[in-house]
Amino acid sequence: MLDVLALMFFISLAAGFIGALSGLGGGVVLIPLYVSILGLPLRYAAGASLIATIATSGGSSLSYIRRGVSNIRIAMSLSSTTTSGALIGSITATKVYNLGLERWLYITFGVVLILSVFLLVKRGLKKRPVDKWTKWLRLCGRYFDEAEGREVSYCGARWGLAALVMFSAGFLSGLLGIGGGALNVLALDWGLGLPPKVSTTTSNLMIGITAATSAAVYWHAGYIQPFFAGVTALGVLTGSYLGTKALSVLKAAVVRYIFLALTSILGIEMILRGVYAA
Amino acid sequence: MQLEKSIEYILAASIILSTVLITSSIVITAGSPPLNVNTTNLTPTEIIYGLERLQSVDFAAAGIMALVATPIATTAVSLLYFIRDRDYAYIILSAIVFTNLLVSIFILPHFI
Repeated sequence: MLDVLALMFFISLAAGFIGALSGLGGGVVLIPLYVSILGLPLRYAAGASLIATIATSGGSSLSYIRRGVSNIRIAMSLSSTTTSGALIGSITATKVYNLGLERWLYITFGVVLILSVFLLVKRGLKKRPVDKWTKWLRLCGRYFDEAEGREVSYCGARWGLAALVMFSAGFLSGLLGIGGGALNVLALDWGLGLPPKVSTTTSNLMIGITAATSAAVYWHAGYIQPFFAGVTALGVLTGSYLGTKALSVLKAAVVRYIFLALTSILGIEMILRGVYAA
Repeated sequence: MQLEKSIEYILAASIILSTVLITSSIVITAGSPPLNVNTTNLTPTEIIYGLERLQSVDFAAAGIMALVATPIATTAVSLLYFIRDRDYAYIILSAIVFTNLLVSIFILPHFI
């Protein structure tokens, strides 16, 4: 049986590595790899992915908080809607599995995967003028950008709109067992108008909180196999650490597009699996 | 102490603790890990009892529980900091997050 766990460790390590390079996070790549290579039922792959998401969120946030890039206030304020979405998403997932409608989850997963790739390709900084939300929730912050060698100040706006997008991100996280990082980043980039580094690192902190909400439901539903999830967490944690290190050595843009293409293929594979499911 | 520093300590402790517990579970199984465990009836009390008896599955489960507990702890600490600072908007928002986390553990399972 150890060979199964060893294979799992290497797949999750690869998923964590790809996730870190593409900026999509480990879970979104991990689930289709587990389903395709190991033949693991979607519910167990999703359960393992949620635990891996919490682990990678903790690991990466540790370094980002230390460097002062993550914005804890923004993360906490928007987690109120992602966790609400996750509650509904995770309970919906249990109903879908109980009704034997799993094929629709495969199709939804594939569509979300391809949409995530599209959103990340299109992402960019759009500064927003300050509004009532900025003042009420004090959404301004600053961090030291090591690459640019200067302090960057920013202010978030349109919190209400971002909160709506975040609710959807939380719902999908609970439904599919992913972190929902791509939608989080969309809300923070496009909605609040935060600098990309702040969006990515704040999203990293949030996906752990969101995944924990869904994980509790998955645990009670029996979708989390302790050994699968444990080994997956260790693998993704190691892979994302190596991926982050490799990112500074490799030509980021080229590598990113290769892996985004790979992610798109996995998305199409999941859709086909759902369409042709018996 | 700053909120950031407190969260940093919680995250570091959780990553170390869960890594040690999960790695221990794999070592203890000695080649035959149980791969079909129903977590529905696996309670924290049973896990603690299993840890005392060096049950591999309880080590893995404890490692996972340590991970799931991390966001609950960071949210609780954030809430306490916001209460200390009388930051009312953030007291409400972090209380919603904390409540949602508790609902997912104690209430939602009854609707599965």
